[in-house]
Amino acid sequence: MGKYNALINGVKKGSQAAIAQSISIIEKNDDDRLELIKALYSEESCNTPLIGLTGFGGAGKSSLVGALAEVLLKQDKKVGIMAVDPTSPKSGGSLLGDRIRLQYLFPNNKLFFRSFANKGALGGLSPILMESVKVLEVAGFNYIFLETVGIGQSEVDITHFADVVVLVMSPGLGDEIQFLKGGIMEIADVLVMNKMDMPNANISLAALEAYSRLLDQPPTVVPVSVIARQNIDLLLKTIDEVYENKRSTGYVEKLRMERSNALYQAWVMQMLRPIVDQRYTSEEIPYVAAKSIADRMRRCIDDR
Amino acid sequence: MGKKVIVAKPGLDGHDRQAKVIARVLKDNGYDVVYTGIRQTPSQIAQTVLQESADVVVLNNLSGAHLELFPETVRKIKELGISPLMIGTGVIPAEDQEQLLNNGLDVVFGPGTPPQKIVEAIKEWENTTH
Ligand SMILES: Nc1nc2c(ncn2[C@@H]2O[C@H](COP(=O)(O)OP(=O)(O)OP(=O)(O)O)[C@@H](O)[C@H]2O)c(=O)[nH]1
Ligand SMILES: [Mg+2]
Repeated sequence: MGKYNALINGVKKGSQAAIAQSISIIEKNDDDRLELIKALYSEESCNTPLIGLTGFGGAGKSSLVGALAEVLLKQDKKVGIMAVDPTSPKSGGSLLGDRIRLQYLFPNNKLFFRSFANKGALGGLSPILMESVKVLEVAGFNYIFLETVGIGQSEVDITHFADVVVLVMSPGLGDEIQFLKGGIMEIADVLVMNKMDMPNANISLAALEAYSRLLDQPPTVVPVSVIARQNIDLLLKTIDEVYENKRSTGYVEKLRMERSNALYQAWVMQMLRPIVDQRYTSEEIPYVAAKSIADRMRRCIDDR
Repeated sequence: MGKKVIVAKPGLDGHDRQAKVIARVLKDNGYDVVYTGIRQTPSQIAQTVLQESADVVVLNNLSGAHLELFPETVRKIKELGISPLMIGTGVIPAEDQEQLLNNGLDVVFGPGTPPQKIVEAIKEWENTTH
């Protein structure tokens, strides 16, 4: 084992310092990352349900994940939450504004929350985020939630690979539902209409229910109000049922294999990017230059 | 990768316009910024700093309780075995600034300091130590 023995042991004991430090090592692009990832994958980890939450900005994703965590913490469960916010293309900085909705739950040593800036990862799936999920799995969390940037930002969002995909909406967006990009509507397992405390929320709920019935495999629609703490238990029960159903039919297993494959691809793209970037000059025809470098790589690999 | 900064408001004062401006200016200068919101206890802030692996913590308090709250927050953070750059901001008179610097804060700014000064302080720290 070696270098990361103590750190991994800390993670396994659920030490928040060890978990945070591991994620930091994964975030930094240097040789330590390789060592740590190898060590993490050599550990046995249980399959923790990975719940993805996505939806329009301001729909109440962070508030909702807070309310769900609140219930789970009362049941003495360990909850990990990771939230992604967009990086400003202009400054390269970011305002990570999800955490503020859950601060009231702290201090709590059964809750781990980490904010991530989406540095425009290729293919949408941030490998750093997925490896951080692995850290939380090794740490023995009972639930892992992922909140990602609103819909339409990237075609293949990480939420597509979650065990349970929850799409969060709020009243007043009824007509926009059908324009949702990236097929999120088709892959969502649960549709949440949040803010049911708002006037006329019932109209939006009815529209959502009508729309969901048109889908091949109609997802469950759950009306909730985070503010009124209404139907949070029902939502949790629905999430558990979806997970249990996918697990018993072997679907979770299949998803995990797809996730590994997507993670491999995401890492490859990320690692190749600087290499291929250096080799392009603006006089070249983009397609021709790309084909030439891909052919050269293939030859190199096949010759060995 | 951009450094991560926590902007935190310990204590009971409910005015967070200044903290939000600081957060925005830091973001515009390329930092990844987590704002905790108002009315945070030192323990809450410490756990946040730990979980987020923050490089820098900017404390802001306008109620005059900085002499108790800032050193207490630094202590809670250090207890966790981490030592980010600690910056204190708010309505801090000159005589208190000295005392805070002797009690664990690395940089302290008084009232009316432009947020750009905070950016400069972080940049300077990055250049010397990281
Ligand atoms: N009326 C009402 N407001 C709510 C409810 N849930 C959340 N909100 C409010 O909606 C706003 C956005 O909530 P967030 O939880 O930050 O929403 P989000 O989807 O995470 O937002 P982004 O991360 O910015 O996309 C906040 O002002 C919440 O207080 C609810 O059940 N009813
Ligand atoms: Mg949010």
